Amino acid sequence: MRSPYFILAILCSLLFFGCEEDITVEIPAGEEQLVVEGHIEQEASPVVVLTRTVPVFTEVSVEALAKSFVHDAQVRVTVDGQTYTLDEVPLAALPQELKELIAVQFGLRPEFLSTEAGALFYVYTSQELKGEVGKSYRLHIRHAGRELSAVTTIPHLNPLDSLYTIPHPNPEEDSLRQLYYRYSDPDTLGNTIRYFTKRNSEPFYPGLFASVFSDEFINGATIDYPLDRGEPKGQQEVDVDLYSYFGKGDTVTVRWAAIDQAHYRFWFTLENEQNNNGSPISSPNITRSNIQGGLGIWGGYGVSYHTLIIE
Amino acid sequence: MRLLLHHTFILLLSLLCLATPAAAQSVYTLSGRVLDATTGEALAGAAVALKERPAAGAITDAAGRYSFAAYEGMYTLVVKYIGYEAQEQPVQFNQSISITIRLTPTTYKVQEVEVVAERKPPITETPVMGQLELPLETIKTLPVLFGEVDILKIVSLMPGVKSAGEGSTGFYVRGGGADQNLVLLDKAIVYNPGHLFNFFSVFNSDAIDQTTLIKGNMPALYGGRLSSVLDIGMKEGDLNDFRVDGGIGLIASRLSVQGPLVEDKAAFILSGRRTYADVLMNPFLKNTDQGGVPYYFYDLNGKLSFILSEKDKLYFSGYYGRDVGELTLSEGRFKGDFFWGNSSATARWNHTFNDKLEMDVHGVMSKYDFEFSWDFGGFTTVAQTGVQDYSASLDFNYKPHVRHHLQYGLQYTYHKLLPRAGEAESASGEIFGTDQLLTKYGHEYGLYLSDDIYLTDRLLLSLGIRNSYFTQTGPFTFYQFDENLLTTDSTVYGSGEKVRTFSAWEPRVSAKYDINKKSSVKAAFSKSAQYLHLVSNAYTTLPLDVWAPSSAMVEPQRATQYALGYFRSIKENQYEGSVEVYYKDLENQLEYREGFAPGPSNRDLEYEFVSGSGRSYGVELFLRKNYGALQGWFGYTLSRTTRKFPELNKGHTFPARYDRRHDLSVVGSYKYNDRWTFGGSFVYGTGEATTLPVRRYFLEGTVNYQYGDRNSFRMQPTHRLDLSATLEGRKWKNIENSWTFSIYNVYGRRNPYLYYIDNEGSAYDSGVKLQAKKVSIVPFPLPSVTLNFTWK
Repeated sequence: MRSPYFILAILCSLLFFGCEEDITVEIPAGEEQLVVEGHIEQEASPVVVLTRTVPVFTEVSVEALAKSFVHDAQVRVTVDGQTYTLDEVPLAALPQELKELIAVQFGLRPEFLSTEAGALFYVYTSQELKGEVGKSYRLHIRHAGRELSAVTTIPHLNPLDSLYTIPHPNPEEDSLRQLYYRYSDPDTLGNTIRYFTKRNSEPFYPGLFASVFSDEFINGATIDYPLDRGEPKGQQEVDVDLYSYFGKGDTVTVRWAAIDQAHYRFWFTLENEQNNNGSPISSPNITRSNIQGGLGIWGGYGVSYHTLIIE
Repeated sequence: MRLLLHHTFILLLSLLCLATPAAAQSVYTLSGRVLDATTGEALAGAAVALKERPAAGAITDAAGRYSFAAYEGMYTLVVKYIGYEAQEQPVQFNQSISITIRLTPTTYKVQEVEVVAERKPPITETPVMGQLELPLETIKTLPVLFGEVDILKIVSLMPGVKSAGEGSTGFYVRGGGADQNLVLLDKAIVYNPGHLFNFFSVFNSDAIDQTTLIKGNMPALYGGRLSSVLDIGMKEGDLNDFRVDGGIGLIASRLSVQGPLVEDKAAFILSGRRTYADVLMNPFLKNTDQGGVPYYFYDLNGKLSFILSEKDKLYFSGYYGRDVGELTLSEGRFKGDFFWGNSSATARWNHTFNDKLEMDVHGVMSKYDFEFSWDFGGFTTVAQTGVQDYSASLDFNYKPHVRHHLQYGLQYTYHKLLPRAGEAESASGEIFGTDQLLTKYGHEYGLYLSDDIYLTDRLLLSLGIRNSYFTQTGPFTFYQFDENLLTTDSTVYGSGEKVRTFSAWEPRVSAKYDINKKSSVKAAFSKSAQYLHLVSNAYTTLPLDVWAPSSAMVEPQRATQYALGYFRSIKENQYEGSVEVYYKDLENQLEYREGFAPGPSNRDLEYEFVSGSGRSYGVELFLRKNYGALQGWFGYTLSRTTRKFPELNKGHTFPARYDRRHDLSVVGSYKYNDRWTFGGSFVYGTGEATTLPVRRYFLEGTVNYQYGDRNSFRMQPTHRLDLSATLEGRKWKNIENSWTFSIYNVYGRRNPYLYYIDNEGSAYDSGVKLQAKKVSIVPFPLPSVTLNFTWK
């Protein structure tokens, strides 16, 4: 369900006819922190990308991106009392199957993998460990005197009942369809989901404004609700005419991932921050990370896939 | 600051030592009222004095009453009130006597009479520190945004008061939060005094009369808020003549009708205001597929006054205002309606037992509600929040002696606070809602006594004490949650059962020492408690911000304030000036926890609050010219306001968002001739404290921020010049009219409203662009014109 805040943010941006201008600000350098972007999903190896924060206005370049990777860290994952060490590997050296999974989990375009920057992309992973549904994974990272840790779970799968579409509210737009899902929530409270959609041969994209749901209000119920098409983040302007819709003839694949509460809170607060950046009715909020001693996320996904060909 | 406190006490002590017994000669009291001879209305601010002993005298209060003492003898009583013929009459003082004086208006035009109706007691004489009367009629000649005269914006031009931002009616007093201002309209609490995200206040300038601002050190009569009182009274209606006042402005129009129901006995006034923003804003609202937001607001004020007898008066007044709009997005995929607003009703019985004792009985209802309902994806959802109060009070004013004034009374309020609750209904009729968010009930009592006594001719001591008591009662369920925010336990309280109880003794002590006829020193100490809280995480308070009571989850806010000031009246009070220093400690201040993201939740918002302490201190300079062709004031505040929360900013002290080192306002109006009056105001404020990202990182290829220390960054200073010109039109039949032309932000200063760092693109794709941006609200000169008219 959408937050009234989000709606009011839109309303506000309409009412405020103020102006924006570019400025130059002197910002202190701040203290470097380590950032974890790590995932584990069922039947797949854990993957951790370890980077460091850089001053906001550091030049954006392939070299700068490469320099932000943290090398030679000790990265370990513990499950059921057994500890696995994750080795640092350049992405290019990984098997194709794992590369594709990483592309989905980390929002990499397949083309990126063959670029210069792609060659500099390093991950920590272990081929020995494969995720299992229902298990908790403790991540522990040690680097240059810093210790980071986090725990995540791969929740039990909560697949969708079905996917279907309805027509665009304007009958003239008969080539556009709105995707809906039917979902039966388990009886226990606390089921949370992150979703991604894929249109035809495009990559998977998470929901643009809100990719996570919680069953806080619908616990145990079966609901039908619109599922907006995922889109790349960071677009200059979202095409409002096409936002959320699929077209007739599209093959839609939904990646429906059960996540735990801390993982949900991370994306919920992060998306809130991104949606409200620059809004006069909000203030900067700090994304709630589940990493002790650092930033980012160590998140398990219990994934089910659903496909629909729109006729 | 400990030093200041120490000095305050030393000063108080030395003042007490100066107190010498009054001379043993017969002293009698002269008291009575000053009335308008034609309308019978009380004249507030008239000067009553003895010609032979200019030092003895008084200024009439709001009810036109005066009272002062003098030694036995024969005198000439002089009563002056600009706009009226002065009166002189002999009086023999061999006993205490009461005289009612009726003044005849001079043949000046109504407008001018109203301007001088603002004659105030000199700043040196008011016993309450930090109390300012706001002259509404002079204010009417000052420049304003969109031509809408707004008392709240004038309030923020006073020293010690900071505006919440460009164009905003929100204000902060001496380092206190926006929720710490007690805003009263005919004694009814106004919970959200803003329209259109606080661009306009709910106070229609045609409907309101007297406005008093008290910055802290409030008398014991007031309670429930820590920082200030803004006490606004509605007009009572003309007892003798019908009249219609109105205005046509760029954004809104106003109309007021008043007149006698029974001549000299009963009067009514009815005022209304509505905006046409829905029509006007449309050109600004490109890129919305509905081509605009049908949005408007309106206010209705009404009052009935009955003079039942010399001793009994009865008043009924009410206010009703709404912001209303609808919103359609994506060709009807999303459809929403919203409204919010305040409503209040006040009944007041004023009874005068004798010239020493007076009683006020009030019954008040006050309500604020917000509702937003929308249709999306087959669900109809309603979100609501609100506050409802029912209160009753009994207040006594007792003047046993001209040098001794007692006020005491009892106040009770029943609060009903609806959290931000929501309910969604699916197409198939299933209902999902915030069933764990419950309306909270509270009972608030206040019992107070204050005693103003002249210990000597020069030393006035005001001793006040207030006992406040708040209890949260059931029905209520107190939930407990685990780290995953799932309910683990709950305690159920039955209807009327006490959940939590708080109480506080709130001493309010002040002293005034007249150094001479023209200057005085005042010192004050006060403690106060606040049982209702509003926490906003936005740059301004929002209509859907939630008022939360002190409860099982939240402790009351508390404040201790010390103030010391020097006051001076110059040239027969043509000018008055003051220097005040204050120091304030705040406890149990509330903020949202780090990482709080607003959104629908089945957990009370109070769980997202963290509490900490605050501190504010500063110096305020004020110089005002009260009379003459040129009037106006200069206010300057040098201050510092900090907060310290164990759970915010790693426990380090940080500047409050409204910490402004320098805050300056210069306000003036100049009457050029009978037709033209010019006005202007200039404000300057140190840049607002804000939190900015210092570092960044990528997640899924997009930019995320690591923020710097809380409020450690300063935006550019704000400054702005506004100008206006008022032209008195020629009278046509019985209609007087005037045009007010104003330009807001004359030199187009782009004052920062907020800074943020915009980012675009993906690190794994097209690359990333980062740019710091400044958002300004009214970055250009904004002209406006308003036509005001009066028919009588």
